[in-house]
Amino acid sequence: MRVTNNLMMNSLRMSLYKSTNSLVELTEKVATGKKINRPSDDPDGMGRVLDFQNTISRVNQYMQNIAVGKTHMEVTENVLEEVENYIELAQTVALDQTAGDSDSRLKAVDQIKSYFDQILSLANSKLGDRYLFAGNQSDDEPFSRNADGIDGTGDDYLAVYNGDDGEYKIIIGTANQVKINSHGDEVFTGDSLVDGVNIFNVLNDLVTALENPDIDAGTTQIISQLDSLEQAQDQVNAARIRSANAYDQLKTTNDYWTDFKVNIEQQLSNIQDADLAQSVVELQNQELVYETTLALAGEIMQISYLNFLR
Amino acid sequence: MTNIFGTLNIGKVALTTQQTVIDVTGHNIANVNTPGYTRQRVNMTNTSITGYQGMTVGSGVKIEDIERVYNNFVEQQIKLENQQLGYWESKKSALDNIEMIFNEASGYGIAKAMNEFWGAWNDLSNNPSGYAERVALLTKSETLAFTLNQAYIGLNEIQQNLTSTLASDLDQINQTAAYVKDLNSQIMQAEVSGYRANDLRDQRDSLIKELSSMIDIETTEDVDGNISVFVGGGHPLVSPVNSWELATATNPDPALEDIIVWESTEGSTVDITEKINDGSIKGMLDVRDITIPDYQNRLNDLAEGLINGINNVHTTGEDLNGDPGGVFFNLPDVDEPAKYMAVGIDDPELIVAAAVGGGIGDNTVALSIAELQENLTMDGNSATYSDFFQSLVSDVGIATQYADTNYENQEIMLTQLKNHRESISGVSLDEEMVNLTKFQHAYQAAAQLINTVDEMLEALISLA
Repeated sequence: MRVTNNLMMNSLRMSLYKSTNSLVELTEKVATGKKINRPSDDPDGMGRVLDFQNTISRVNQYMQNIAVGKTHMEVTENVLEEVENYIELAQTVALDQTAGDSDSRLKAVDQIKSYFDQILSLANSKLGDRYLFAGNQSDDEPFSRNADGIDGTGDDYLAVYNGDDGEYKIIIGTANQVKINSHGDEVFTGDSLVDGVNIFNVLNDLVTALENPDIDAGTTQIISQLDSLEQAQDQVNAARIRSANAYDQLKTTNDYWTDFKVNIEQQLSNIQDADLAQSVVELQNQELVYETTLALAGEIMQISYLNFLR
Repeated sequence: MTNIFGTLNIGKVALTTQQTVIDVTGHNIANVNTPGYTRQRVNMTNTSITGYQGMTVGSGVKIEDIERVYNNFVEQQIKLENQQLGYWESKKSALDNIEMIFNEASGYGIAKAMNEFWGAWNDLSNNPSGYAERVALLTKSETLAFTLNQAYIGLNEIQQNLTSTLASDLDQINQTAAYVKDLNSQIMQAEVSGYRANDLRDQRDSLIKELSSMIDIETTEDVDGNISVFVGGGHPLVSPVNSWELATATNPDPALEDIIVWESTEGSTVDITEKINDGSIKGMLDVRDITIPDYQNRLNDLAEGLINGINNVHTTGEDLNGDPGGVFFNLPDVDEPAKYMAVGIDDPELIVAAAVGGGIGDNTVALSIAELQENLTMDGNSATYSDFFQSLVSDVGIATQYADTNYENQEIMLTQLKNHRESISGVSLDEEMVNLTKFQHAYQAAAQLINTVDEMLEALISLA
């Protein structure tokens, strides 16, 4: 084939273009640390990168939701533990007073009343913007003292539930919501339970029993209140167990997401990240090729017939 | 008997012939780097007359003609592949621009805006009575709408740029066509005398190659050496004596971009947009009229899906004031949801988290909206919003990669052809230098011949 000057120059130019293009691509990979810098670098990979990023974002959100849920439940658990303690204290007092006389019984009344106050205050606990036991009427105190109580005809030591039985749920996974609250009716008033008991009424009845001037009749009443107090304690405990189960579910799910996230991030990195060591080596290779091509070009271009004419 | 002046003539003709050949060699050498130059070669033949004692005696050399070393087949192939190259080049360039709009690999994009939007709904569902969460949600929603708007508008801008590039490319085509027409008449005049107008033909060939990269053309050459060029389904662009023009014109459908028309000599126009099949013009038309509207439609589908999906749930609940939930996203223009999508709420208190009558702590509606992220809402209930967008980005990547690959392949193919052409028609300095030496010697020899005849004449004259 007949080779002309232009042919040699074009050939050279094409080689140089190829070299410099490679250099540009490799430099970009090293600089950004990524194999995929635009959709056309790897369209299929780009789609998967977006998919993984979406998944990671969702998993992060689930874990955030779970954190909110856990905090709520931890606080609830602390409150319910204290409530159960007070009920136990009331049980001890009642037990003692089955054999008590009217003097000690009157003193016991003050103790029971103070337990009532504590439990009422705990029932109105708040976390952030939300009253814990109000269901979805979470802006207002769920429990108020009997409205009639102050003027003497009513009883200061009865409570009215103003909340509802709304469920407070969080999203912990795909189509996976978990209820994280306990509302007043399932813990304190027992209205939503099959064999529920109203703790405030139980304490109030105990006070009445302690104040009964007839010691023997009072003792009978106190003994029957012991049963009710037992029921009340079981009720609170049951709420704590339900809560604990949900809490475990949150923890397990969180652990699952943590592992899953590590896995997905690894896969994302595999698709997206450039192997730095390899890229740098390729870059150096390409530089060598480029330099060699240039050197060769310089040599060849200088030789021509003109050098040999006399 | 041969004439001594005949011998002198042989010398003279030899001298001028070799000088001419040296001229041509010099012309070749001078044009070694001229793009599109075809090397010229002198064809010499020997001449003879009937002379001495009835025998045919040679009478020297004659230049038959000066020809271009030219292979028409290769030239036609180059012209054809040029058209393809022009097509892929302009398509690749436009797609590279489009790809930047969908470049989710770096920085902020639609996918990320969507993820953060859903995150804000999750946060609201965790604290349904919260004001801060509503403010944050408003911000993320506005960002999402804005990002979609910008992507759509960006595509529109590329369309408009393509239209104006088309207009200026058509101007260039018209100018080139006019030059070709001029060259037609120059070549015809030059070749009237029977000799080839080599350099003019080289120029004309270059111009035609230029035309071919921009738009697909048919060419024919007539016996007088004129080349006629036809374009857009048989409409003449250049004839032996005339040239026509192409231009952009407003589309009869006002929603669409400009069409391309051919202008007749009487002034009427013909829409040839559909009849253009190759070249950079076609590449731009394809991207402008087929590719971009497809991507815009998909963005519109995504926006519409988001808007309806969210509004439908949002209106079933009640806001912080206890009023029934209103529209969350506004849609002023039903035809282009992606372009005009906007948040329809400016007071955070109007954002709904609760179901009607659920209480201020109720988060049913917020939960439902948050879960829309993973519902199969698009593509006939087979894909999520994210899936839908991901496949759009993938498709953009595929189209761009395809154009890139085809362009590279086409370049390689064209380079091979050009090398082949170069091998046939290109100037080799080494070869020309050798020829120069050759003809220089011939010139010297011819001069020596004249010298000899001169001495013979002197001898003759001194006889008297």
